[in-house]
Amino acid sequence: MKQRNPLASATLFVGVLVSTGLLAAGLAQAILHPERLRQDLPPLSSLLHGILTADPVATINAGLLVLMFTPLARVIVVTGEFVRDREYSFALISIGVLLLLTMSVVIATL
Amino acid sequence: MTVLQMLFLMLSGFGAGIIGALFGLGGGILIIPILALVLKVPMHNAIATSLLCVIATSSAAASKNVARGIANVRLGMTLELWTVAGAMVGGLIAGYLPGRTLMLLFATAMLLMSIPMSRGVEDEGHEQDSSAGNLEIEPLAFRDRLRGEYFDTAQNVTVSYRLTNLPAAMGVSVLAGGLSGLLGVGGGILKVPVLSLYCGIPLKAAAATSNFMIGVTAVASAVVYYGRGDVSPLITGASVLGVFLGSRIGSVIANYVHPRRLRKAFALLMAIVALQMFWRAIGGNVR
Repeated sequence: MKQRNPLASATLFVGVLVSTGLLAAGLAQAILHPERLRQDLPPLSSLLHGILTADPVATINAGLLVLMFTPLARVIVVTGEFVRDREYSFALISIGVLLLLTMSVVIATL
Repeated sequence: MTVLQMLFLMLSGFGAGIIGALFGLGGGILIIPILALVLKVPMHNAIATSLLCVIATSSAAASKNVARGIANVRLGMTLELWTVAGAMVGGLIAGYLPGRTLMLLFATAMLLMSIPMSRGVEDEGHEQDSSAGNLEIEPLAFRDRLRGEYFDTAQNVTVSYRLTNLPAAMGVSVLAGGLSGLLGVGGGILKVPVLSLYCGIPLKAAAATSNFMIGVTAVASAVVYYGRGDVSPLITGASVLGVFLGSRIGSVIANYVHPRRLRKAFALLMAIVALQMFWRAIGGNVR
């Protein structure tokens, strides 16, 4: 039975690549400019500004956020692949996984 | 944090990443003791780092395993439903059980499972030539649609297999998800041997499918830790970067190692980790 899912693989690869790049850049900035280090996490609203101004913690934080989003993106892409291939039972299962993940986030923030 | 400490963390993550990719683990089992015992990092930060390392290992190894067809995506998604449900329940129960009890339960389960794993069940439940294609003329039962095949470069054969025990696979997925929610580990240490020994899935496919699943399981818990402020960017960033690199190399090595050797090494790792957890739970300060 066919088991190739090129889009899911590409999603994971791109997610890994982007987060690796951001983490490596942030750690390099931390090593080269230790005076810029701070202990607290920057607010999400200032993330882009932090990356553009070479703030090490903001850059690393962005890498970690991309990393956390990567498996979620993979589930969304796999769901799309199942729909495209008319494998509706597996598409429903994938949607169920997404719903459960959403529920867990909601429960966690209560 | 000094530059030397960051390099040490990257090297630790590198080793954990290789092991994670080889055995379907997330690497957290190694990262947590290194952070908590060697670097004296608070346990909540250590678990948060472990969860992000689990995501990194899963994503990095799965991107290759999915492309090669070793990870069974249909089976992985089906079991993910149960794993995530288990992780949610596990996270809620964790608040009511003492850490010492949880650690002893987990160590007992792991030690018991390392025994049949070390003896091995030699590639049962799968054929080395796929003649099952003819079956696709008729509509397939759901369980039959979870079968898979991949090319084993170590044995130079195409390995075909079918799931022989769906209830067992679902059951262990709930349990593994529960353990992930309780202890911050991926849960592969339970899923891989059960899928391999009792469900007819070859070890490589079981490890790859487990790796494919555990990232999603870990995300649910990681978001909570992140929201609480338990993620320390420098510690986590250095560890995760090492895991990224290690897991890429580990997934390549896994294609050239004979399954029997892989199983023996995995059983030994399970026993060592179980004894380590017993030691900690009985004599250590577990919170």
